Amino acid sequence: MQAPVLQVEGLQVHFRTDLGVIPAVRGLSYTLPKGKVVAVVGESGSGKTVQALSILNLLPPSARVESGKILYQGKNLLTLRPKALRQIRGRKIAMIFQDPGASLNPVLTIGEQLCETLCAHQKISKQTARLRAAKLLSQVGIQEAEKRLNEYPFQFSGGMCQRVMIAMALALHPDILIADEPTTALDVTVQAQILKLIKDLQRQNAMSVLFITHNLAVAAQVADEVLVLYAGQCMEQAPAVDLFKNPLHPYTQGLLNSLASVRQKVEKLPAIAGNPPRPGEVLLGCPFALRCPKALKKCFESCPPIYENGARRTRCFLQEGK
Amino acid sequence: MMRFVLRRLCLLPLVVLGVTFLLFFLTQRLSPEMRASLYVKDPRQMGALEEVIREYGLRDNVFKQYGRWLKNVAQGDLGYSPSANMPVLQALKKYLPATIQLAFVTMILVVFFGVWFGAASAVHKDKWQDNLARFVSVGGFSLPIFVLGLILLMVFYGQLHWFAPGGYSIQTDIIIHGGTFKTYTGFLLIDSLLNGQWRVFGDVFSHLILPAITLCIGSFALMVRVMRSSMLEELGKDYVRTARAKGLAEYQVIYKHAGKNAIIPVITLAGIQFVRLLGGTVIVETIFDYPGIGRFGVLAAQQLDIAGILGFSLLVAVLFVFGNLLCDLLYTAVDPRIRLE
Amino acid sequence: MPAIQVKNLCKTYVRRPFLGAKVEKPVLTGIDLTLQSGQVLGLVGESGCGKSTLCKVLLGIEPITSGSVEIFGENISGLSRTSWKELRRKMQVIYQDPYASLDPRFSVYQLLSEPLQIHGLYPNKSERKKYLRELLTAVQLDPVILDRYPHEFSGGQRQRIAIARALALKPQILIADEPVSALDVSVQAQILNLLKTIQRERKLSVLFVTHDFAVARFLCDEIAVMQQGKIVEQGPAEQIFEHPQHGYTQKLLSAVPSVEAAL
Repeated sequence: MQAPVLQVEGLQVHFRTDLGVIPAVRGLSYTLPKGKVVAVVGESGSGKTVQALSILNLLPPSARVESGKILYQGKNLLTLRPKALRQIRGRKIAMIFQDPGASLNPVLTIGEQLCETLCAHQKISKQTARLRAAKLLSQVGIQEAEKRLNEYPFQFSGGMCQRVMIAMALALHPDILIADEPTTALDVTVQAQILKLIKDLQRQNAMSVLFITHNLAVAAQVADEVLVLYAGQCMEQAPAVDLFKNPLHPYTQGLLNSLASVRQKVEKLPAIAGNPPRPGEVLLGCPFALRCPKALKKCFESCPPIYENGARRTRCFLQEGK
Repeated sequence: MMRFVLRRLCLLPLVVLGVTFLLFFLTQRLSPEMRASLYVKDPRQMGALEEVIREYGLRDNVFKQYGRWLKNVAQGDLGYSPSANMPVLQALKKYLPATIQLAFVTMILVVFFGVWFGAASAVHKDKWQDNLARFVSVGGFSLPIFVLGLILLMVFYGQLHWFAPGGYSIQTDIIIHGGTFKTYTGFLLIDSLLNGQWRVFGDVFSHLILPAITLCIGSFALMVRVMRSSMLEELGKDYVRTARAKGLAEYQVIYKHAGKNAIIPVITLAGIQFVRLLGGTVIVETIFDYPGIGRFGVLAAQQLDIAGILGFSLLVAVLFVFGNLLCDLLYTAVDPRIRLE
Repeated sequence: MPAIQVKNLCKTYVRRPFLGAKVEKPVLTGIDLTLQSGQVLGLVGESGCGKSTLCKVLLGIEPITSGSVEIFGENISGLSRTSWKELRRKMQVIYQDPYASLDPRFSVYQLLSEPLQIHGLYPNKSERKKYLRELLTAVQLDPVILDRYPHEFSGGQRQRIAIARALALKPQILIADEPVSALDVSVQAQILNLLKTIQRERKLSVLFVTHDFAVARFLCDEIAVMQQGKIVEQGPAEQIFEHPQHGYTQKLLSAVPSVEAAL
């Protein structure tokens, strides 16, 4: 196994709200290997976005990292001074977001926003920056790049905005790209193009990608490795092929079974019963136990640890001793 | 763009006609004798009253009178103002620059400090900066203009003798009317600089300070509030997160990214406030005896100088439309979505 | 008689600025669509293709520019207020976002009894409660929740409440505008199963608007593919999925990500 570029250890993030302290990420550990795509899959409230935002300390003011470490090049990003962290943001670790239209500043030109990224980290002239920006735009498949630098985000479609975001993120050849639901807001045809673009650029630059999504099919398309989150905890982690062919955790199994397929018509979908835990709900035992068809008595009493078996990690008592 | 401006200018006659007709209609509540009386000062000439009424057709139907007034206005004749002792048009020309000057200085204070305090208050939400800004803005809302004006006048003129009321001092008056002082724009602040008269500039400016502060306080409070909430909203948006993720310094994130968006609603407000100030200088100019259009309007109203009142409101209506137009143009300058669509 | 028959429907939004040339934006151009009674018609298309506008026209929220819409043989243009009221009793709607479509200040009881009040049904309070309990059971919710408020429920539960509200008047037509796309993956399947069961049991005619082909395949008997205000292909679901004719349909189908295809 290759050396990890990013290592998350025991991450805990809490939200402080009017309703009290709500844990969003509850002791998450994983590693991002070099040059690989790791997909973090989860439903809303599973903590997948929150854990991604805590890597670059982009959490909203109400959220706080309670404990844990995020190691990059031997440094803990969580304890880094703001100035040192700024030098990593955008240059070493870049990020793209769910709603590309809203993620670009509406009153600045595309060129301005691209050049700004370059100038924040390198001492280059405005002209050089503009040339580089135009080149970056054409690299992500935007035609007439030179001209479009002077346009504003509202003149771009959603897919085009996401391309701009990608160009901006990859401008400085970062080691890591964090993609937070980058195709959720896009149409399927555009989604396919953007996924391909991300994958191509990842291979060309030997970049590591942390791909956050709620869509298992999308994860299957891009990921080398998949991490399934539920209620702020990792339920299962495995190489993508293993996970989709032979899911070990009942939650993963349930999710995969319940998907409607475009390839065949079924009479009834094997749905997972119940609802995901509400934020702040007190969870004794395994968070999935209440909905789990295979739950044992002890599942309700204590939370299972993670059982490792080769490259697979599973948080389920059924894996005990296997 | 031109189309937009033209379309806006088409609104001008509608607003002007509406305002002036309304006022005209109200003045008809006064008897023709009362309206004529101002022109006949000497009690021995009471017989001339009837003559004035007949000459000016003051008993005619309101529409006829209004039509006549409009026709005169179209020819550049706004009538004679007995309260100012000169034709209305001349009075407006004389008093308007001082008021614009006052409103302009006030507006600079309002926008500069309002935006600054508002932004600081949003960035340091719930810290001491925020509390201070909120305290000041609540104070600004609740302190009536005439109370503040009188307090400032008592302290800075009555006690400290720093700033005097009026438009300028006697020395300045001598320089201005001394023959060598050339009038370029009518705005003393600008003309004094063009003439190289620094002392005049200083003097005029020091007379502006107290009225400007008094005038600005209400608008300032509003500006702080609007800027604060607008900034808070922008700071929570996705593109701010993107800006941070790119590794920009915090000041760039706040001022270049969030600030540029947060200022857009402030511009609308500033436009409205500017127009409001032009019409609302009435109290302040009276308190500080400042020779502006507001004081002219008050005098005209007190003496039932109908030509003066109509002239004053005509001017305010025109300024209102132009102020709004200016504000819309500024708006398009800042927001590309409006400019390019 | 078809439940909904749309013929050559056009919808153009017109903006008339003060003293300026009017701006026309055609959204629907010549839509022909038939929803057979008791069937599920899937209306599939990408964002901005006019799906939602079509729904609004069918519900009478937006006026028709030209063409005709017949619901159970009755032309909806020029209907009086009272006829619309009658028609709305037969035709109900479920929206995408159950967080926005339920008024947070209304209890479940109030939410569900509002349509009954409007149409003067079940005036007796105990009978009304009994009926609403049955309704909640039909959408697989515990009937004891009548006195609770929407914020106490998860997305899936809220969508069940929204479905119950739509069913309260025993409609014959249901318009479902992306009813599962705002829901969590693990809950979508439950709601889809529920919709299918209810449709079968009550023999509803459903217009199912979605951007998700997989969901459409599970639920729909017939599919209409929409692109830029036009229906480019309509036919039985199996035929559309197995042998798509139109290039746009083929392109959309091939772009759908799927776990099987990726492995």
